[in-house]
Amino acid sequence: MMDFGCCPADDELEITIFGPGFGEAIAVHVGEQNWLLVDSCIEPESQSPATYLYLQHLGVPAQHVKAIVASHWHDDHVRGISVLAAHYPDAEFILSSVFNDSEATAFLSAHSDSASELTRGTKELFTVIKQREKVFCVQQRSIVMDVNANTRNISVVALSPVPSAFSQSIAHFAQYIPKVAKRDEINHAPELRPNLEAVVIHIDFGGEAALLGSDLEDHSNFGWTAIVTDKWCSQRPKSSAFKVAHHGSITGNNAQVWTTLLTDDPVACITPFNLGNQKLPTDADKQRIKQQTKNAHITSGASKQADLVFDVRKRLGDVCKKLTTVNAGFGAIRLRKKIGTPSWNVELFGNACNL
Amino acid sequence: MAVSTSLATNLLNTETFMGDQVSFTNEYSNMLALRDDSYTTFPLEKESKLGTGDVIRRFIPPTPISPASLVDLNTAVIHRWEGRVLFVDEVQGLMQVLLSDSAGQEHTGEIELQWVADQDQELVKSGAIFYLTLYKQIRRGSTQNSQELRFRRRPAWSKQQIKKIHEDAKMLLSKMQSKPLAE
Repeated sequence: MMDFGCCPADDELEITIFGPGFGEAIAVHVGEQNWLLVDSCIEPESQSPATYLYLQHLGVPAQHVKAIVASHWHDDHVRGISVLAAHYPDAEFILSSVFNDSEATAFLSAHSDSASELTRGTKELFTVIKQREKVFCVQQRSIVMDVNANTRNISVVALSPVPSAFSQSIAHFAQYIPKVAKRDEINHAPELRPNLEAVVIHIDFGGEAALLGSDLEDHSNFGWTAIVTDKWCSQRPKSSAFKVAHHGSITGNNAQVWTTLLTDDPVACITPFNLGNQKLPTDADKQRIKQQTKNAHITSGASKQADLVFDVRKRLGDVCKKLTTVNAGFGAIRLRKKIGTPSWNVELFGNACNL
Repeated sequence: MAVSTSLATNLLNTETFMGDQVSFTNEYSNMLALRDDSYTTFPLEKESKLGTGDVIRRFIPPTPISPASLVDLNTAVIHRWEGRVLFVDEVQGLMQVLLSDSAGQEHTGEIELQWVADQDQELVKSGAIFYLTLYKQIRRGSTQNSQELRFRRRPAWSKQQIKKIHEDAKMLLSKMQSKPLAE
């Protein structure tokens, strides 16, 4: 485990982003030991949720975690979230309002079996919701968290999803719910679609702000367009720290986000997505982001060769080509600043590096 | 009827047991019937000739298993993965996969569709689960490697399962509460 030093001071804001190459998790300190966790990924060495390990390292007691947000249901964003939620039973568990629907919950139920060893986002969410007495749903303008710290009101709100995007997502979920009449044989897990139901979070620290873009993508009426064209959203304090949406991809990009929602030269943090042939951000994505800000960082730079023992690797190589280890480059980007100071102090851990 | 432990033990220690399973089964069943010639013909029950008042129930031995179908003790599993198909490229004839083993190690790679058995081809879709096993067999001093790639084939959903899905869905829905909207 990396050495993360000590806990932030009460008057110190912090955003720490973990990214192992497949996965993403964020820990936010809003002041006076109030913590917010967004999504979950697995720290490869310990196989534990990365943010849990981080808070343990800092000595943060469980009761200081006020909320856990699952920004959407995709595997790479909720790995280990059921374990994370179990460690913080008093924290509110928050997810997209798209799941406040009978077909959406049927979708989670239908794909929550334990037959597969592979983690499933649906299984993680199903497990958390089942374990809790209640969970909270958010959509555009929902208040995620509202605390007073350091004589300031800290307001955490959701900028997405918009309700008009729900019907499309629910129609997609409905395809994967078995029907009684047809006695469907469903052999495969649902395919991932352009993400229009993810929860984007805006944190107003009382004079300064941060924007966590999740995996929200753009669309003519939904996604980022629905945020930048909404008067209420565009009037939020501009953010000086930005977790870039959808691993820096072109589909998660909207030029107006940079002009409407962000300060000049914000600190931009990207978590890569390396799975099979899909590698985000691409070189073109990196160039585009670097044109928007000089302060861009990525949590993990590269993937390594397969790390199996020689004989096994050789035998596997007969069947499986282009073998690459997932989660080969675990890293974290930590942003800290004292309240009232002009800029974030950026620290890079593990495989994190400048973009 | 209480079978004498010592008789069974003696039999296990004799050369008879060193033979195949069929011979042992026949020998043991003969012993249970106390070498009664009418063993194979008497009705299901009769009185024991030992005079104990016990009732002998006719012993119907298990069907002998062909030695060829027994697990080959010379074959070892080298490694096993559960895989998920990420993407299928019909043009190139390959699938992008994510492999996960029991140690939690994960790898991505490409597997040509020719490795997929004909009966599993219809299951090759994005999200499909499969199992890849590498074997090593040592026979008469030589090593033979083999592998197996088989797709998980789930049975059709039963009515009970579908009912449970909707019951669970209702349970999940009952726990959802909306957060207030900002003004």
